[in-house]
Amino acid sequence: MMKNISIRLQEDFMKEAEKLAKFETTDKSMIIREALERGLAEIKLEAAIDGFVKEKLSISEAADMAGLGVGEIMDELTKRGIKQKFTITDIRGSLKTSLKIVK
Amino acid sequence: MAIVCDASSIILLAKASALETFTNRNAIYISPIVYMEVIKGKEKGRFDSLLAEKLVKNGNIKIQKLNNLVKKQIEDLFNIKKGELETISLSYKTKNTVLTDDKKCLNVAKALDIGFITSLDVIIALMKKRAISKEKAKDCIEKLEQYGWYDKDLIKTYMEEIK
Repeated sequence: MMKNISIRLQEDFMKEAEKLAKFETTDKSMIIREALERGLAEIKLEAAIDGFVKEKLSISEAADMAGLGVGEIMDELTKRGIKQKFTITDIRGSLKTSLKIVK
Repeated sequence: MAIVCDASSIILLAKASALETFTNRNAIYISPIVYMEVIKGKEKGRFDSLLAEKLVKNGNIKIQKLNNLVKKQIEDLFNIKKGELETISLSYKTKNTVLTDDKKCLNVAKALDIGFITSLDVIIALMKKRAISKEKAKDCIEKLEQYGWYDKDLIKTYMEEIK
């Protein structure tokens, strides 16, 4: 379901939207709606990445914020060169545990 | 002894080409939310999502529901949500080891005194139990290095284990 909202936009933005609508032979509101949807997806992704980098979000929480699957957000992070934050000190003893339980 | 996995490790082991061997030889449990997190993306043809779905269908990975009360208590205490919350809650309740590659999840496991392992540990353990060869283990870790989830020092330390 769609809802109506009034927003003020820059004149240049409106001109660009009108130009594109003409080119695509569609209406201006469709172009603006798509721009908003794509913009929101980008903002959500940036917020998720920022939250993960600052260790406020786990990988699943970041995926949820971005509206992506965990594999998809991991791909986005590694594409940007962002790595998991734990070090060998953080996981001390994990290999020993693994040798005990993994068959 | 079973192992409770979160989405990050399922994905990394799939990328390393070690998930099938690991799940063939071990009792692996995931929570319902973790399953949804992993298979989200299968419509885009993601290999890890499709493989995880197949392993669940085959019964190599089992989905286990959990008690909401335990979840609520852990969420309130540690402010952890989604798949990691369910993974921690499930392992806390069943007293099984957590397999995760997420720092927040690792920290909660440590705070609750739950045993934890990472995907890199799984690869080395599979090699030492002769489930995979040294060459295969090296290839798995190289794939993870190429993917870029772990820092160089961590990769170097685990590569040393292969020698």
